[in-house]
Amino acid sequence: MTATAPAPPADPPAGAPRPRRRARYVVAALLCVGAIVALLVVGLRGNVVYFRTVSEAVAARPTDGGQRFRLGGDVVASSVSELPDGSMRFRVTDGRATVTVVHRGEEPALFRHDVGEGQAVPVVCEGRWGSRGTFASDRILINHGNEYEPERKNFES
Amino acid sequence: MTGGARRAGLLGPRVSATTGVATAAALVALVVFGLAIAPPDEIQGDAQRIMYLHVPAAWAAYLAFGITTLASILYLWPRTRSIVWDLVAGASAEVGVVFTGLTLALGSLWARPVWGIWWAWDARLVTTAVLFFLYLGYLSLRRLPGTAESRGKRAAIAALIAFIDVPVVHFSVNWWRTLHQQATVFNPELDPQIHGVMAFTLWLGVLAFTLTYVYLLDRRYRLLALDEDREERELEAAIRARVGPGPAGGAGTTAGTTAGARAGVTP
Repeated sequence: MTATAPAPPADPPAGAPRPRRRARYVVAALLCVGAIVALLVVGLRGNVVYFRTVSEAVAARPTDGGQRFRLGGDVVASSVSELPDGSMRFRVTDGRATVTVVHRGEEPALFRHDVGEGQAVPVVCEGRWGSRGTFASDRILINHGNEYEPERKNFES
Repeated sequence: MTGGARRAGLLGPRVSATTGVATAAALVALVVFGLAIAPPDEIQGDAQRIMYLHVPAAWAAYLAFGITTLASILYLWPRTRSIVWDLVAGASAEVGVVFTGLTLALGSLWARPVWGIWWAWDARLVTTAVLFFLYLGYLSLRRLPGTAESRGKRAAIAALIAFIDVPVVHFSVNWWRTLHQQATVFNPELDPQIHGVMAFTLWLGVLAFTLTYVYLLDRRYRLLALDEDREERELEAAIRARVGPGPAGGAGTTAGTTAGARAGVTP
């Protein structure tokens, strides 16, 4: 391995330090990886956003050029209705702004049509701005919370 | 040589066997509580039961990588440097990678019925996948040739770097806006959002997976130590075959030279 080259001019004959030097390279490469991780943390902090809130989406509407994005918010109580063409219509709010979503496509099992007053049902819709200020969604993700409670079937008399 | 002590494993044979029995019992209890006794969730129904495996698996992965980090520090610290810590770090990382893979797989199974998708490119999921590959890389780095000491140091430094991602994974749901929910128990408010039998089942899961981790760590450590021993003995035999049973016999061979020669000698 080290003796194959026919008399290299500048390279010193490195028998013993070889593995050590390789270890140094490996360590250096790992330091780079660590730096990348650190950069990801510092650089992406506050930037990695899985969805836009309704207010953010409304504010960005004039400039986003009809690109695809995810819209997250709570389904407004008793706003879900089905349209004759098979699509679904509901309103989504973040407390400050509200947007009408027209969804065409699969409906997740946990999507509820009977959202009551005061119930927070957070969803994330994928799609783009459609006509007349509605959001044209083709995919609904249920953004459930971190709270868990037993089913309350005993309370219904 | 510490070979005899190492071969016994981290725990004594009786402690190890007891841990195995306790692990099996805790896992059986978890199955009973998780599937039968804990009530279905109000919103998610039965799908929420995956939580009793997903969360403990993630906890066990954190724990495993924490032990890898601790053992790596003890290896790097000259006063406590011992092959034992290097092997503990490696064994723990192996188990941790398994638990990380389990966390990802179980999370995917949970996501499909609840979120509606198998995978989301959100910060929690991506940083967890990064964690999986970081420690997979760490394990492959451990297999690169070199002297025992250079391999050990190299691996220990890599372990310290890889661990940076663990707090990033844990806090990703607070730092970034994710689809993944925030922590139920160790949230920033430290206000558990789960109570009664459901909370008990979750803690039972944590206990069962912690025991599983300890048991697997002991087993993997034992295997790694036996492997190390075997390589040493094979090497000594190879040296004896070449040099003859003279004074150059293996009794005085240090770990450094044996491992250094290991790369070149194939018996």
